[in-house]
Amino acid sequence: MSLLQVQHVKKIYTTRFGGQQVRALSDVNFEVEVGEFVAIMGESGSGKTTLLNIVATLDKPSAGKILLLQQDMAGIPDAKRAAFRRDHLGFVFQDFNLLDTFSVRDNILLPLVLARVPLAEMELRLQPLAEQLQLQGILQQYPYEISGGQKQRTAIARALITKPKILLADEPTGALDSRTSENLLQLFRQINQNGQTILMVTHSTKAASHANRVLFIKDGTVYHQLYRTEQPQEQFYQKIADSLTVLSSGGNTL
Amino acid sequence: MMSFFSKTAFSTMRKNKMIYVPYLITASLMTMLYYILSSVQIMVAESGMSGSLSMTEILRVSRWVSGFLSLIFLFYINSFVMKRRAKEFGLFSVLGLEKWHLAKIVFWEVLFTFVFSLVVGILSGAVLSQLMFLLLLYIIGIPSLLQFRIPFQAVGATTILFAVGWLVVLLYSQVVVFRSEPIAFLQSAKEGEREPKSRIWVTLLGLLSLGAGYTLALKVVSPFEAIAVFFPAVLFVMLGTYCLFLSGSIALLKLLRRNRSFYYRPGNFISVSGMIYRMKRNAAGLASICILATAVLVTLSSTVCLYLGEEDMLDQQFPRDFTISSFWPADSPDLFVLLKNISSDYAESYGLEIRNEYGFLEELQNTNDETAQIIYTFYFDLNQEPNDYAFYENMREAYLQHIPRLAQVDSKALARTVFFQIYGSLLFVGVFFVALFLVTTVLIIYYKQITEGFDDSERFRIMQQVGLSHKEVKKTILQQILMVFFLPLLVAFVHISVAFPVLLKMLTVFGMTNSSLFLLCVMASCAVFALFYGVIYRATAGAYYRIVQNKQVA
Repeated sequence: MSLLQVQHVKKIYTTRFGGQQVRALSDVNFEVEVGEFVAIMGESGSGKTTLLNIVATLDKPSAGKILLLQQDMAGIPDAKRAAFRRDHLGFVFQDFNLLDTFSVRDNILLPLVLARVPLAEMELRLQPLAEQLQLQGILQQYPYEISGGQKQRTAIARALITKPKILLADEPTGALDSRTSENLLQLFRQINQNGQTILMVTHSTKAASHANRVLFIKDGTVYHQLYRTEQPQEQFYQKIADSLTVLSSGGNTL
Repeated sequence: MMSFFSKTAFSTMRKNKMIYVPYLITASLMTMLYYILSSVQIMVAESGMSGSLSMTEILRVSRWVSGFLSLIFLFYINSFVMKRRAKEFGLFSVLGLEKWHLAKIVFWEVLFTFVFSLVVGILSGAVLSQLMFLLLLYIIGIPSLLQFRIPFQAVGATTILFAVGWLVVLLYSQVVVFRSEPIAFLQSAKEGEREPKSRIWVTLLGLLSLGAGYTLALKVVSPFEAIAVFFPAVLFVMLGTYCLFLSGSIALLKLLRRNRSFYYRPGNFISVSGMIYRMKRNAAGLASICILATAVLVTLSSTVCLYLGEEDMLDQQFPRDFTISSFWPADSPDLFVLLKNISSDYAESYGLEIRNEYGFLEELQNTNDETAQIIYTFYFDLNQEPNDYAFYENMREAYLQHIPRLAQVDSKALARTVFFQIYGSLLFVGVFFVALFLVTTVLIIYYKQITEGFDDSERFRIMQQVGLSHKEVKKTILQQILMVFFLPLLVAFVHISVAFPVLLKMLTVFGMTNSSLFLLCVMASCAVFALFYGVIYRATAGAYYRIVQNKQVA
């Protein structure tokens, strides 16, 4: 079943001075099935973060449609947008976006508190997540007291605690060293194998090679895609790297 | 041609409009208030009206006190502004400006602020001081013609005082610049800001100090004791307020956080955690607001009360319109009849009648003077007010012709004008002090709000990504500001309630014993101040919301 459908999405920014228009996305089409782990790749400025923000309802497309579970997201009134995000989408960002005013525990619980979930239910959901993400020891600590990897795991826990339909990740390994990145990507795979749909934007070949499918964006449109199928990760990594080389050399022969 | 440094100074001030415009306005207002007080003092002194001496004295003392307070407030506000600009200085030094260059930029900024506030303050003060002089005359009940003038001495005094003040500000700012380290400037405030510890000793000191202040205030019996005790009590309460805001508030908030069913609700969750986080920085500002608010309430209620209670005080001191007291030997004839005859004869010569007359005899103890063994006081009213002022002027002469040892001839009407002069002047300067306190309070609140707005905008952006709606953002902001904002007001109300008995005793020194009038004045002052505070709250919450809104997501 198709969980997310992106149809002919276009995004045009108008510069502040004068009427100069910048086209970030020209015509993007793709679908994400339930249980998939999809990576979107592209050079900086290719519009991948814009695309993720539109899927996340943080930004609106200039034209085109986004359907989540067959429901048109443009039809959600502004007032309900926040609640929709809270209930159906989970976010992980490059710079973690944790709040220094809250302990790790409270950072994770934040979306549930905003959704007015009862206290007992919060506890019930927090325990297994904290265990899975190895956060039990640091629940009482504050974001400025923990490492980058721990911060990102906290952010993942915050994203997953609402049991989102889809987890959206924007360069989740961008601020981490390579070892921590590898651990984190393993974690993503593990979460995905437990049935969580993931859509990740990255420019790291390493990160993308953990996905089931990789979409390449160039000039504001989906240019190419690769399926992992049964091949080992190293082989998939190589294929992605090759595609990127062709992509950046401007070739049209794929 | 302007130098690079003066140009940079101007452009940074323009870029920091949100900070500098209120700063310039406040500095100008303070200059204006001081100038008006000085020039009204001079105008009163030169007017040669009766009682101008005592009024000049009151104005002179308050001028000095207000000048002193203005300088303290300016210094405080400047240190705040300097803190906000630390990051900018860091950027400059990374770009290659030496500290010496920064010092030059700061010099131009302070010079500009000084000249601007002085010129604007004196010009607006010159216009307003004429109105204020009229207001003073109106309050003390003397009609007068308006003559426009700018006393040179007032201009000079204002210039000298504020030149000294800004020089101190300049020195302090230069010390800040020279002691600063560029890297510290650039380090983001976000990282490493620790959750404050609630220090038990500070809390204890605060409790003890506040307790001591309150006990002193509540235990007062006599009016003169009240005056002796008032200032130590004020100092204790101030110290206590600072300590408790510093530490007690954090302890209280942590207690709230421990109450899970309260804490894990959207509004409380965000407000309580946010307040704990910034309480350390906030506490001093909140305590200052609280103390200024208390000062406003005390000044306003007691000066208004003294002014309004004038008739009460007169009635207390003068049971009748006229009071004649004189010394007599012990074996005197019927003094009541004698004085009644003299008084009615005098009144009749002006076509008036006396009434409600009565006398009071007191024997003097331990006197060797044969002619002054008793003191007799005679009181009477008139059937109507004398329309000839000569009635008052010739009165003493008339009685002297019949009474060898006349002590005093007093009329309520003359006393009334003196009362109005003194308590009117007090009310007048009271209004000035209230204005000074209010300007400072508003500026502290404004700076607090915009600083927090910048701090919080990032937090609210993140929370919106996690699923907080615009409406909830607005609601949460209002709730959070409300809690922080009205805490000082609430504490100020507690302070004034405790201070009520001691203030009342102090007022009896002035002959003011009408406690219900004072209660009314205190309650009215509280109501007016709360209203004013509410308006400021709305306005600054708006500014805060706009700053947070700037970083919002769709």
